[in-house]
Amino acid sequence: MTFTRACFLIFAFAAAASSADAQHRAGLQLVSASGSTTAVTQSTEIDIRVTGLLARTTVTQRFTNHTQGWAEGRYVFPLPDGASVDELRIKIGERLIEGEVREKADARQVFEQAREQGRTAGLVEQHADNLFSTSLTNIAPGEDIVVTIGFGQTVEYRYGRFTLRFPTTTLPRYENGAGAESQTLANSPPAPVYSSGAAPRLSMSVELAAGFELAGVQSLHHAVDIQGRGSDRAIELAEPERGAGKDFELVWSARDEDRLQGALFVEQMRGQAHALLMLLPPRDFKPVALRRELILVIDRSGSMQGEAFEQAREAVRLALDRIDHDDRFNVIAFSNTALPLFDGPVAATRANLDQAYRFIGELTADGGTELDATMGMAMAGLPDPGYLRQIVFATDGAVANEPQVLERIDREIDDSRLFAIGIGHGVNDAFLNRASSRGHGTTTLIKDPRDIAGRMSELLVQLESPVLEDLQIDWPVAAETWPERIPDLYAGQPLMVLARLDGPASEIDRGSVRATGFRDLRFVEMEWPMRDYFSAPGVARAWAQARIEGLADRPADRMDAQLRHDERLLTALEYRIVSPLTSLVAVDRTPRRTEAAKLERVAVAGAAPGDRNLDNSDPAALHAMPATDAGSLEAGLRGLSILTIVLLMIFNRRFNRLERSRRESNADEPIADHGEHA
Amino acid sequence: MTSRLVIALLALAAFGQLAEFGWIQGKGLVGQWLMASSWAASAEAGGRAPEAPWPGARTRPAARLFVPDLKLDRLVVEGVATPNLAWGPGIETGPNGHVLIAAHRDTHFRFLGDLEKGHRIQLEWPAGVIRNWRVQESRVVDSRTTRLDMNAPGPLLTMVTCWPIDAIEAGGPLRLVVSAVPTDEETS
Repeated sequence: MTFTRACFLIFAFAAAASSADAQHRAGLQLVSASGSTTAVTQSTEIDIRVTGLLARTTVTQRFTNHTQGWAEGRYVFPLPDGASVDELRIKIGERLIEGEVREKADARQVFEQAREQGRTAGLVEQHADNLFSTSLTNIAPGEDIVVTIGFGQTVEYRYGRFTLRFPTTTLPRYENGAGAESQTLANSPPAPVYSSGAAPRLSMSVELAAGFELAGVQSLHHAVDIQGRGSDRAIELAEPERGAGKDFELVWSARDEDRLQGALFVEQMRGQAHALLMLLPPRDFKPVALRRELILVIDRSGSMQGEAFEQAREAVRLALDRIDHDDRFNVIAFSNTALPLFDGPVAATRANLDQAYRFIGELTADGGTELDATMGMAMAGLPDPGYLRQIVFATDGAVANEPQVLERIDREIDDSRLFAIGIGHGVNDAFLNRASSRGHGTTTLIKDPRDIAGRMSELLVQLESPVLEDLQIDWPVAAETWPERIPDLYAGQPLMVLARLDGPASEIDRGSVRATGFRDLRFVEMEWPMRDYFSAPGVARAWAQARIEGLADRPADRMDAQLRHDERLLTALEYRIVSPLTSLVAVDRTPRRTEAAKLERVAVAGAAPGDRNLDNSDPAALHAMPATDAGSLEAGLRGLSILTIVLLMIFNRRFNRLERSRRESNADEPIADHGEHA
Repeated sequence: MTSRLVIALLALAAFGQLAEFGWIQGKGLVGQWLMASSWAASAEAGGRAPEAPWPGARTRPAARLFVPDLKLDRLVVEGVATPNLAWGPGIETGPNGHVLIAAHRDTHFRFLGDLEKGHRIQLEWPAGVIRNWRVQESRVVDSRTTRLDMNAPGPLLTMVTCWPIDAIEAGGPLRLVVSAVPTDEETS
């Protein structure tokens, strides 16, 4: 019964708790050379408040260290594209620690120092575009700690549908052999472990204040309870336990869609007004006859295996169905290498199309995701004169060499258009959005097989319709607008920009914002009066987030690297948000762990996407620990202590009775005396 | 008057609890004692499956566990379900030879905390075959997060009881797990 034995924490049971077995348990995982086992459980509570086009989310996670040792852990999680994390709070018992934003290396140093000193600390870092991690250290044995992270995001609007997304899963990103450092979690402790099996307990509630009469509110992948009327709703997951594994998507639309023309949200911060403007283009477009060269690119890498690949196949089939006999086309499948159907685009004859359907039908999913070379092939050469080249690629976005792919698109896109279809849950939508906006196209996300037909027909309308090009925006005062270059707009898309105005909110009541552009060579104008705005918290940080991302996307020849770095860092520090250059760090003031108590290292599992099978252990072979406590000691001790009380009570009664009789005999004597005197 | 009633009720409760203690401990002792004769009978019969130790018994001795260093001798019953464990340590064997023995910390496995690395353990099967084992490791694990892998490749002996051994409260999540490896080829 030595102390070391009681403290033993890391344990690969009977040399057979294989790593696969350890992975399918939810929660924090203790990791060491001797294997891993779950030691810290966790529950997640997500609260989202939507005001108009802005959503504020707080994610509250409770970690309990069930072990007898001090624990530390790391939790890797995805956030929606464009999320700006600005809040970290850690609650230990009654104490509350607030996080502050510091330069990334600085924050890590503060965290490491706290770790060495035995203080409880937390650190939120951003890794890839939408991949974040929370590290915690010095969680006391048996302790409960509650970590809250807050972030803002904007709501998407398309084809009359407002969509709020919350990813609950990440796909492991495919890495090729060399030099893809950008996506790896730099100098990180144990790599994230994906947990399939029992997902972490998740509950979610959404408070929706749309700002207009709602026609319908719907959760696409989760059963929810919806309450409320008019413009407000309260939404809650109906089955909190089964939430993880599928991205959460909430969709709503306006009752009077036709009266919806735009919206302006304003927040004042640092003495300046920040604005989010949404304008809907006039609806009177007609599809024009357009001869197209359609390049369909389908991802058949291993990560697409299963349902995702079937969906991609179906999406490509639907695109083939809509090809006109005047059009030209080609199909390219890719994994480790690109596999084109034809050497170059061919006429859409019946025979060629049949060959394409057969080709699609015979594909299987396997291997890596080398998009770069494939994109090169898709964009190679010039389309025939009079044709518009449209490249449609269906993928889960878990690709290698993201930066190279984006650079190649910048270099070679020319007049072609690039449309991305993101398939399945856990899609890397940040990358797809970047790729398609550089390719002057759009991104369509398909999460569910029953979405395919609807989403694809919308995409195909976009492919056939004229776009709104050369968009310009005039603000009544000087303004810094992001994105810098307004992308072309397709059918069903609103114009959405973020701006920081030169002046306080009180001064922007006059004038109006004007957006101009061309549709099919005709001039189009939209206008929004400045005084019609709603106050909305979150706009300023959304602007800062867009600026940090936008500056990173500026081509290298247009901006000095050092200047770019400084500008992004300054913006992140001024607006206090987590970015690739800044992190949130929170440190408890009092050190609590003594030198002697060893710290155990923990990595936390994320949830694996619902339709992917990462689990190959046999749960039937696992035996729960038998109940090995008969409870006789407890009963015996209880019996003895009650017996002691009984004996004490009896003794007390005896003692009282003796006392009383003595007092009575004492009291009798003086009376007797008195009597004698009388 | 009321105090007398309270005392009477408390006394009753105390005796109830003590009776439970006695019942559990007694069951453990009597079970061992009763099984000893059926085990002996089976040994005499040349390793025939042991008879039911008492009429209507659902448990029967499956093996005998010796710890020479601690001078201990326990008859082990089939199965690790709670009702079986009242009579003796329970045993279960995985398909690849992983032998699991579990018992209550307050009865048959009170000694488990005293087992140390290197201690010898003997396990006698009904046919009289005795195998020698040596304690390799003992650890405390959390039963909420740790599972026993019955498919683990054997021969491997794992003994489990509740931890801490002398805790007052019953039903805690921790378990003491002692694993042992064979030290010899089979001897008879």
